[in-house]
Amino acid sequence: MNVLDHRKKGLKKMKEIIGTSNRILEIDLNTNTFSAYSVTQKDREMYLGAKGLGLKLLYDRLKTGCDPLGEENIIIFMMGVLMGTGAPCSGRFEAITKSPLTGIMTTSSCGGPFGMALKTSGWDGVILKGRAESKTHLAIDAKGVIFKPADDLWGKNTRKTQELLSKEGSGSVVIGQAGENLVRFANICSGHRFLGRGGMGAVLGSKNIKAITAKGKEYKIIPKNKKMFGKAKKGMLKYINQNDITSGSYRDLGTNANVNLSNAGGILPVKNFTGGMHKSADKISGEYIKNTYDTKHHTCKPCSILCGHKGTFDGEKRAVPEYETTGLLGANIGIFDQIKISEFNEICSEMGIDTISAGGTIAWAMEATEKGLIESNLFFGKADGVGQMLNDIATRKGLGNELAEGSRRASQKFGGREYAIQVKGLEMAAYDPRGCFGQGLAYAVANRGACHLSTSLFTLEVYFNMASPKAKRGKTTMVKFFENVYSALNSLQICHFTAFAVFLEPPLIKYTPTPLLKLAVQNLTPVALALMDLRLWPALWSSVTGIKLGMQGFKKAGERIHVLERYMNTREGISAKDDTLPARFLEEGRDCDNMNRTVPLDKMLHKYYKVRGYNTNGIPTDSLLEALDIEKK
Amino acid sequence: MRVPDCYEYYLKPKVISGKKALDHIAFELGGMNAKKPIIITSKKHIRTKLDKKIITAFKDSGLTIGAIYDGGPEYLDPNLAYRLNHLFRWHNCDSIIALGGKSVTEYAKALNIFAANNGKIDIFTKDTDIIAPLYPFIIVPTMDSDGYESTNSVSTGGRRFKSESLYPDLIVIDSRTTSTGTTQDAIASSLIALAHSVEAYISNNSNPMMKSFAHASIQYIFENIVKVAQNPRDKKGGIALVNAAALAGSVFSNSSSHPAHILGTILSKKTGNYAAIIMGAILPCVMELHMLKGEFDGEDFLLAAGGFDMMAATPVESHGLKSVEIVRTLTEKLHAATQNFSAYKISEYILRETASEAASSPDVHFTEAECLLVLKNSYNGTQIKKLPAAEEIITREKVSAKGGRKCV
Repeated sequence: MNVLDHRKKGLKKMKEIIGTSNRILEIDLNTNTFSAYSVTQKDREMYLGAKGLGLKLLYDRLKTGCDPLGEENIIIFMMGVLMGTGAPCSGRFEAITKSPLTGIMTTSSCGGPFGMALKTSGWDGVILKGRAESKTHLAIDAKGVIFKPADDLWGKNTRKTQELLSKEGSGSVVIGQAGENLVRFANICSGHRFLGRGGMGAVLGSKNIKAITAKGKEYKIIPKNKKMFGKAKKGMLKYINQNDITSGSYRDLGTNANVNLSNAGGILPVKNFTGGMHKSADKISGEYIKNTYDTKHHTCKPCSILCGHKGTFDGEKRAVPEYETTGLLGANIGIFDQIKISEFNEICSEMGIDTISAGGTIAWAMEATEKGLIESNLFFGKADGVGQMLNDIATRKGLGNELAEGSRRASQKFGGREYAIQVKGLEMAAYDPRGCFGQGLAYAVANRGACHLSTSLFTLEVYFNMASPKAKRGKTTMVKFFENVYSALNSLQICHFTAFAVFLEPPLIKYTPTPLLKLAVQNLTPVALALMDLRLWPALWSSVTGIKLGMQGFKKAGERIHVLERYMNTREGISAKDDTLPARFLEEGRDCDNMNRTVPLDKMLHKYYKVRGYNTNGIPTDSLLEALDIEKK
Repeated sequence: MRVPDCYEYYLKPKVISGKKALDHIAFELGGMNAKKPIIITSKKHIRTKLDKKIITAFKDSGLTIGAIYDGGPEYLDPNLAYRLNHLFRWHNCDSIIALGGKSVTEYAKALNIFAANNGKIDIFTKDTDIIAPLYPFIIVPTMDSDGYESTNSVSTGGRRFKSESLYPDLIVIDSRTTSTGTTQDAIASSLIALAHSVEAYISNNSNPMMKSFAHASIQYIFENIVKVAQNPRDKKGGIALVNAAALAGSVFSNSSSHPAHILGTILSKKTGNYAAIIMGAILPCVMELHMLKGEFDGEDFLLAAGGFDMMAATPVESHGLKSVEIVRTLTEKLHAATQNFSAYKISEYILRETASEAASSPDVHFTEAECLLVLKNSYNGTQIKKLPAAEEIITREKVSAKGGRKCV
């Protein structure tokens, strides 16, 4: 077909980008101007893309000590080199900023249409600086950005806003009322996915930005080495399609497949993490949802795992809540009814609120009410009042105004700090660390706060039984290894869940009996981890960029990215005193554990610092920074 | 010293201090018609066997110790108060002894309120009056006591609850319980006591009684803190510091202005850093600000802190500056030669939030701009040389519920 035929059919011939455009749109909202920025080859090699490159760009620009809701904060949306290439599970992008919830760096990964739209508009990323004078919508295309008024969008929920913008481009990121009202855990919505953690929605709201749309479909992305790319893609798809989780439980049941596993392993959060198991857990499990609510796939493009689902709840079509929502806005507040949980999920989605932080903060409020520290109509096991409170949080009304600050600030004001389940201000995900000590260490030291995605060690310790959950041995090495790998993964960028396939499907792991694997992982941890075959990931990256990257280089880049983020946090005041867990996990046992174990954090923390190359106060040493080629500022 | 036209000073606790002071407890309880105390303490003090010292003191008294409680979280909550009340009633106790520092005494005060009102009182969510007379209440402060124990208030959750009934009936200071702390305990508690005493000294409702107690507290701290920090087992020094803390607590309760305390407490909560270090760094700046406002000239203060020789050798017009200098020198010596807390890397917006919150407290008589000036200078370890301009306002952006924005 020639060009004329394309036009006759109304089809536009897309221009090509080989590898990556290396164009980052840098927007100054104070002056309504923009420019195109390109990264050096060295930075590309060292930081890969997405999270890594985004952090480096922020490091070079952000003033230490700035107010996260002030004009000086910067938010960066960065794509990985895989976006747009058709690599499996590559439809995710990253956002990086200083969090209003924690006061330190936060990074978040998201699917949805915006990433593809921006990449195929010819941009690898967007840097937003300053603050718009009035409510603004940024419309991006290949030529740059148009600053449009957003008065007619302001006050509308995420769904309505996206509907209204659907003709502006093929993808957008928007905030809901929570972001407009600077709720400290407001999120950013892209399609039906979210940049959830750390309050990024409030950062956009503080800049008077309601939405960013990208036209998309102006470029197609072609890997530099198509042959190598094809081979790596084929290898990845093979692993994904043969892995029990990526082609089995997650594809079939979604992430709520975790519910029964967590319950059996004693790590399901129950009643503000006072318990780890519940007899009604099955009623909110993936299996129950599939059998009861007529679920169908509803997922990111291009996704090969298909973990997202929609169902019919109470006659209404709704997204099936993810495991974290089921955990924190379900079991953790005593609700074992997916109709209610999905209703709460819908409110959070529309208003633009992170469900993990909302659930954790509401659980704190319930316990504080029970203990007489505050007065509210929030009670464990009672769904009444929760929906209204989520609305009140988004609109900052009454007690909602206090809870909109997050559980750390609320407990600083009212008391009950020992049961505000957060680390560094970020509410904890739905895995009780008293059932998996390695995860406990990971929560305490994770860069953005109580994050489960920094290592996902609970999978190894509880789901796969490849490491003893209540042992300390080897855990510091495991935490370091997975932190590095996941930092690199989020810089490619590719879906976190491909890790199930890449870690478990190579023959060495697949065909070694689990008890032997466990013995090796537990007792010969560095050797066992070194033998993991991670080549597919760097192979995909290399094939797109044309830059050589092997497994060691991939892991080293991950280490560099992780340490850079830690270093940026220490410049904001983070140190050993912040690498801790709520008192509940250090001092209280649980009924589901007859030995009433607590997390032995102090026995692991300083060893972790040593393994990492930090000093005894948890600060990266000068020699470590030098070894990783991080310029000290 | 000018005698004010009128003033008020409330002075309640009896104090017994010295060798074998603990042995007086049983007798004093008898005088209060009490026979069966509950002892509230912490695991730390159980480990150093301080409870045994009190038990030994009861040996020949004929009185029984009803119960000993050594648990509890660092923060007081209603559940704990109810549990303590249950323990108190179950063992038919009729008095309370708090052995330890601030957190222990908080539990004891909350227990006293609950027990005396049979659990039917809510001090956690409501501002309310204490209805019934409280049970006899004795405190036995230790090296980690900063004086808050002997005040008329208790913090319950996020509220501070004040009543004259909350003063202890008796404070017992015995070298057996004041010489088992650590260097960190001595420094932290003394810095806080110093801040309270100095603030009371220069507060705008200061009076002869307050100045006398504050004077003694400041003098004890300056004379003893360095040697106790070097040797926490120093009995004489330890007892002097705990006396200083008790005096500081009394003046704190009577003083109307506590900017260093409030700023230090709020900033410590926000950042997780030590309140004592922050207060110690803030104190000289608070003094400087008072000096610039003409509210402090340092005359009597220099006598307490530096002694007669220093006061005599310093020109009168330099007393204020000299006072600030010696406080700065002392606080530098105590926290590893840092005179500021910039090592904590606190962002400026957190300082602004702290200033805003503190300025709205009735116990802080500085404007928000003045609070911020104090915080910034203490953070950087610099002197305050001039007051903020009268028209200066903090530029801060407010967001309305509807999402608009205006500059204030």
